[in-house]
Parts: sequence; structure tokens; C-alpha cells
Amino acid sequence: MAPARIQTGSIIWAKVTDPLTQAELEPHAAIVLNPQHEIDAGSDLDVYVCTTSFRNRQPGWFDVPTKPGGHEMTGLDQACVVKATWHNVVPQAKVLRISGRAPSRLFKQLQNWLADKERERFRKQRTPPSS
Amino acid sequence: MCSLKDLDIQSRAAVALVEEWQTPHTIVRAIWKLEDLIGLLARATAAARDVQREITNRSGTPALDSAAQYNVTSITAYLLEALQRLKQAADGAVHIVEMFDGQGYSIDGSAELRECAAALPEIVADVEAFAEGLEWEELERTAMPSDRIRAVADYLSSTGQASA
Repeated sequence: MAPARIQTGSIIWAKVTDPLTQAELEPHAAIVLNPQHEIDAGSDLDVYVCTTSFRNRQPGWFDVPTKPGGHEMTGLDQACVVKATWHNVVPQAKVLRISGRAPSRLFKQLQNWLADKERERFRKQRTPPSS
Repeated sequence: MCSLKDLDIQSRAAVALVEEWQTPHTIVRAIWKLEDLIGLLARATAAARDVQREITNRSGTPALDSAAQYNVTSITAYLLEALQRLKQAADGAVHIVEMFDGQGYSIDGSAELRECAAALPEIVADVEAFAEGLEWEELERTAMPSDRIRAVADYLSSTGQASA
């Protein structure tokens, strides 16, 4: 049974926008990234979007467990990946439903990826532009 | 004085007796060992159930501080390792009992062994679910905050790494 409240790592369904065109798309599953205290405070949700389009694998795409009829943990029934290159902000009121929760191992992969990109960003900021 | 012929007969008889003794007794000893093993597995399974209940029964207790959490996480990982080993041993013992059953021998405690082998996956699943809950308790606290997530997202957009 899907949990009633949004938690860190919850898999929610909501309308999302394309990160390049900003076009609004049909509802997608997405993984909530925020710590629980931000969620409980009613903040908008930072999510990484899940999609069934994953040909030509890219860095930052991670498999999400699925099963025909609905995976017991994620609730998802079609093979998909979560794309850590596809960030969206979703107001909690716009969440259509909660289908389940990501496995902690997958969430740790997302956190590690975020931390790596944060370090990359800091390194680039420190590196002076070449003349 | 013993003749060479007598010695020959006696030595053959001794060998025959030893072989006769060895054959049935080897099986008897194997069955004893197997019954000891079943007893050991039954006690270990009961102990595993007790430890699982003791560790996972935290309903209504306050959230653990980080040191206690680390302690419980370590103990849970250790328990899971032991349970996996016990499950492997129980499955192996069931296989041995089936071989003896197939040869017509009756093994005391074989029904109990099968109960243990059936119970262990459930105990493992309960402990795994508990371990997953512990992981989430920590991740809920330590997940990257929104401002840093958005800074990373902006960086990815500005460097052409963002994509659907």
C-alpha cells in the first residue's frame, strides 16, 4: 500500500517540465530529494524525474526497481530510470499521488551523484578561466 | 602357536568384521551427526528469532541518536550476515536429509529442520526491512538540503549537462 505522507525518497507522480524547453509534460514519477524537515515544513519538493525513455545511457541515470503489476517498494510497473540530470521543483499541493519509496541504496546513489556534481562545481569556480 | 593359515583366516575375519562394523556404523554416525546438526540449527534458528525480535522491536521508542543508530546499524548488519550463513547451512542440511530419506533412513527432527529452513527467509526479510528503515532514518536527516540541490541543478543547466 502506498504511504499516505510524503517522505524523503518518496516516489510521487506530478506534472513535470522539460529541463531544456520548460514545456509542461504529462505526469511522471519522480523521487523526492529533500530532507524530511523541509518536507514537513511544507517546502516545495526538489525531485529527480523518472522516465521510461532511457536508450543511450547517460551518466546520472539510475535504474529504479519495477515489476509488472507494481513493485512492492516503488509501486512502479514499467521499466524506468531516474535521471539525475532532470531536476524539477514540485509544490506539495501539485502532487497527484505517492506510489511508493525508492530503495535506500538508490537514494544513496543519487546523494553521491549530487555530492560529486557539487564538488565539480566548486572546483570549476576555483579554477580561473584560461585566457 | 598360530599357523600362517590361522593368521590368514583371523586377519581376513578381522578385516571383514571391521568392514561390517564400519558400514552400518558409518551411516549411524552420519545420522547422529545429522541429528546433532538439526538440533544445532533448531537452537540457532530460535536464537535468531529472539535476536531479531529484540533488535527490531522498537515501536514507540524515541528516535536513536547518531551513536546509538550506528550501533544498531552495525549489529543489524552483523545479524544479517549470521542469518544468511544460517540459512545457507539449513538449506544444506535439508538437502542431506532428503538424501538420507531417499535411502529409506528416518532422521529425527527432519520436520523441525524443514520448519527452520522455511522460517529463516522470513526472519531474514524482517531484518532486511528493519535495516532499510534504519537507513532511511539516517537519510531523512542527512539528505542534501534544497538550496544545495538547486545550486547543483543550476550548475548542470549552465554547463549543458541537464537533460530529460
